Amino acid sequence: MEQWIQLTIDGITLGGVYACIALGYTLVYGVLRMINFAHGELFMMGAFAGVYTLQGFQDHTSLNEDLPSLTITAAIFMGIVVAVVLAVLMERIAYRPLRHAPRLAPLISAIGVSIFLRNVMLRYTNARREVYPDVFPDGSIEIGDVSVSYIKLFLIGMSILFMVGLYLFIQRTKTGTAIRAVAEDRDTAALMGIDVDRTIVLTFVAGAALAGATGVCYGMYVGNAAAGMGFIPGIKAFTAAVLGGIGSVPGAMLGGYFLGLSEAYTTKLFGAQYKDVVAFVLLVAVLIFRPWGFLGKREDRRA
Amino acid sequence: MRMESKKAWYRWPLMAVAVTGLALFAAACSDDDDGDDGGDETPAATSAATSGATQPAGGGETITISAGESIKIGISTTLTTDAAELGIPIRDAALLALSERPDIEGFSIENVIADDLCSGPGSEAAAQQLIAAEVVAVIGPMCSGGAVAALDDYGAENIVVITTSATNTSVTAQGATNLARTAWNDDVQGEEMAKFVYNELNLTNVVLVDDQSTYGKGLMDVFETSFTELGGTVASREVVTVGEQDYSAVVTTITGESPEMVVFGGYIAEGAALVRQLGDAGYEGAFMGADGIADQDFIDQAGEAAEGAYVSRGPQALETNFDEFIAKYIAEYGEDAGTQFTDFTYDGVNVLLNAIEQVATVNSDGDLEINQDDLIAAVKGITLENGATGTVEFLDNGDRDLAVGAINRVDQVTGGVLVELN
Repeated sequence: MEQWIQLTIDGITLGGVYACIALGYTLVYGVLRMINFAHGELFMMGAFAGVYTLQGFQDHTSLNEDLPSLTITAAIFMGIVVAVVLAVLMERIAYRPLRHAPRLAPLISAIGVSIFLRNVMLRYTNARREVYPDVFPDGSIEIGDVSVSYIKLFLIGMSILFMVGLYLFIQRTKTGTAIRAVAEDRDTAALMGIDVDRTIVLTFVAGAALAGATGVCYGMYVGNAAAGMGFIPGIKAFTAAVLGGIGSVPGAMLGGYFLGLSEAYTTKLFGAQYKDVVAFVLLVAVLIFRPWGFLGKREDRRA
Repeated sequence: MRMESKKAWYRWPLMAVAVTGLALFAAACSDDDDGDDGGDETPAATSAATSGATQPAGGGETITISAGESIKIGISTTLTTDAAELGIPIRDAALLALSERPDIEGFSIENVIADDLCSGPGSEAAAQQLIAAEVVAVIGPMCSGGAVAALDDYGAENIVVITTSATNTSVTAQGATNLARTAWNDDVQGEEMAKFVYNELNLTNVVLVDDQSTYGKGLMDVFETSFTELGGTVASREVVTVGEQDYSAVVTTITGESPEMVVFGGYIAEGAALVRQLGDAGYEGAFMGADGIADQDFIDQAGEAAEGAYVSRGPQALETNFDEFIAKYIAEYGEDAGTQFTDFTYDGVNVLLNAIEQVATVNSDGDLEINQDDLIAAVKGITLENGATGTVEFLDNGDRDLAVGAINRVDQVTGGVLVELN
């Protein structure tokens, strides 16, 4: 029994990461009807920004030991800044010129951006992993046979915090309302006086901030940043977004946790080699009965 | 109207890219045509020859290199992907060995590097790239899965292949005649690892984890067989997925078995993540990995959790020139990569260059002639004294000859570095 509780915690940890990345896919899809395949790379670049920030503190100050909360906050902040700057550039250079092109063109462009960023970092790091300095306190909470390390709790907590923050941003702020309006109907939103270009950029910014911050937390958790680290989480998060209903913010969160838990349980039941098989069988099964995902909107009228 | 003007705007650069691409493609093709003037060493000519059209007297195809051209040596390793942590030092070691002997019979030696992605399809693509570049011989492929896949491609062209890091049993078990391997066969290593764990450490209950690669799974297969024969118990076998980093569900499954030791077959990134997360989960048993993680990067990435981990480095010759080699390597690149395979690669290149020196002859026109069959025979029959990994000799199947004397080396992570156990 303890093992199943432990697996549930493992699943929630990974699921939270998937959910945070999935939100970026779903937001951009909502406003642009486009899959930003370079989104996983924003997660990766955030992790690098975090590791370089912490390494800088390590080399030049003793703040990592004296005041880890400050350096960790700074690392997360840098992760957000780098991811946001890249997302804005990405949108301006690679996607906006193609906004009125056939839908496949920005998709290919996104794959190009993804490959470009990954290779830039491969070249820069000489394909080595950058190791996070040991700033986070070791140790774990033990309840019976269940043990949860502090870093895992931190990752779970931060992912929930990021998601709640984003949800409030989308639901409660003026910008969030604009994003929802553009997602609903871009032309009508423009007629209502919403600056569509600006809103689209802000959507990218929101998704990127979440990916960058999650990248830093995940990097601290696994202990390193690598050029290829965004690829698989990116694909999984995309799957989570589709599962939850692409375009739906709560759907992406649900999809992320669903996928994380399914992977954790499958690892125990059938072995880790089958976790992707099971995840994708579930995806197909869900899409047969609910093509719009758990919480997505039916789009048959739109088409 | 707005839409129209936008369309016109993006068409321009796209057209430009398309035209540039076509131009580059055409240029590349015409380069290949120029190569045809070189004589009968082109791939087309070679395959015609191996099918029996024009067999020279010596048997096998003879490669002719015109005066002024260079002897091309292919290097198939990975410079990208996660395995590049091992792949780049392999390239560096190969280049170091090549730089020490810049020419043979007055013909300069040129390296052609292809990224094989440490995968089957990648290694086959790299093989086609190197064959098209008209290499005389190849160092690589880097990984076992790649070597198994690409051997046929090289075999069809009768190109000699010396792999310095693909250690899986199946690589030499395929019966390829054009292959030699300076790294040791995993059969030996897997068995020695099992003996070490059972006899030396007196541990009887282990969990095996592999990365589903030809190398990692193969090594763990051998370990399981040997360990079970000795009387040990393999509580379960788990796998990790390459490219992922969160293995906590696998870790939970492992700790549920309460093993005395976790044995891992795979490479650095996955091994380090596994060790680190085992530590986070409060696992207190032992850990053992093999040559795929024998690198300082493994310890750096795994952090404190790596302390005490055993790392099997496979058989090691009793007397080697490793110190001399590593001094040269550090002088050239600034640091010891700490990687298992640099010394194997250095020796592999020297074996190849010695073999080329033996068989290459300058003909009356001043061209260099290398008979492919003779080159293969020379590589297989070579004795490289004082190598960085000891004396190198090969068995008929291309494996290193163990008869020259070797011990099974095991390191333990002590104080953040790999320290050899006695």
